Amino acid sequence: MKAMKMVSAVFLVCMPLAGCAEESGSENYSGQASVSRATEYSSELQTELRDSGEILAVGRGESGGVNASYFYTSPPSREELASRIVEMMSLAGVSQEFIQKIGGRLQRNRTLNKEEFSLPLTDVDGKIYQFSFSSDIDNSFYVINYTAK
Amino acid sequence: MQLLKGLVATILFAASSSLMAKECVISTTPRALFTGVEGVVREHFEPEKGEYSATLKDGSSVTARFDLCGLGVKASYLIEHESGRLSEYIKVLLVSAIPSEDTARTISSQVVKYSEEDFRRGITLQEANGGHRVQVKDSPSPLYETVIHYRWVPPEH
Repeated sequence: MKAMKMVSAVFLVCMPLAGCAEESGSENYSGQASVSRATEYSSELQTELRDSGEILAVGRGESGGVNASYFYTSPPSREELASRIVEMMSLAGVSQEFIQKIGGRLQRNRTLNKEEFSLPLTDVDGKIYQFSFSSDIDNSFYVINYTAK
Repeated sequence: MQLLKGLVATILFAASSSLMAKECVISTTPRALFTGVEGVVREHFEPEKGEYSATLKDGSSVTARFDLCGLGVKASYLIEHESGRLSEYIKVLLVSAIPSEDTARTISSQVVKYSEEDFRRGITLQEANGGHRVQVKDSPSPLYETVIHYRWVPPEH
């Protein structure tokens, strides 16, 4: 009963905050929206619309490795960025062992709170995975990039 | 104690809702900007959040945000390869994003008057319903060449 009351209280507090509603409803959208693969495109880019409509673009860099970018129209939270970095590492074929190891640390990484950052992640073999984030506040345009090295 | 917490939460909810309601007497009606534009593959439209995005066949993408607590629209059009067709892309964005059809026609017909350098510096075109700002930038993502930003700056009341 106490637990129920607490849940209700938390729910009521969260209601006016768009973030809470967004997160709770996001899973339903990803199921429908994440299938827009660009297999028939004349472009070599693969683009998808995810969760709340953010754009994921995946393509090949000059080195032939996978490059990926996520575009937002409002500043993503640290947790959101952490989960997108993990997702982009999976897309790039990074080992699950390394992803699991780094995933928890990313959630607490204060660099992800900054308006601009460059974040190189190095695995045990010395391989570097390069992430960068940029904010264009005037135009409400935010991008997290993964660039193949 | 639990009852008190519940009560505080209810008061907070009621207070914030009424505050928000007072502040948002004017809002912008969200539109699915690129519906009907040639080459649209997938669209995502959440009017209650003021969000719209779409992906197109040529690899380009568009994303937009509508001000639900005041007047305003911001849209960004990501171009994979502009291949000398920058002014065409600008026109497509303006015709789709400008809130009034008449203004959209007037402004998009003026695009030819400006050079790429002008657009890169940023141009604000004044019309009866406010300013319409267009700026072309290098894409912050290596996957795209260019991004065109559009912003409707309504007149101040």
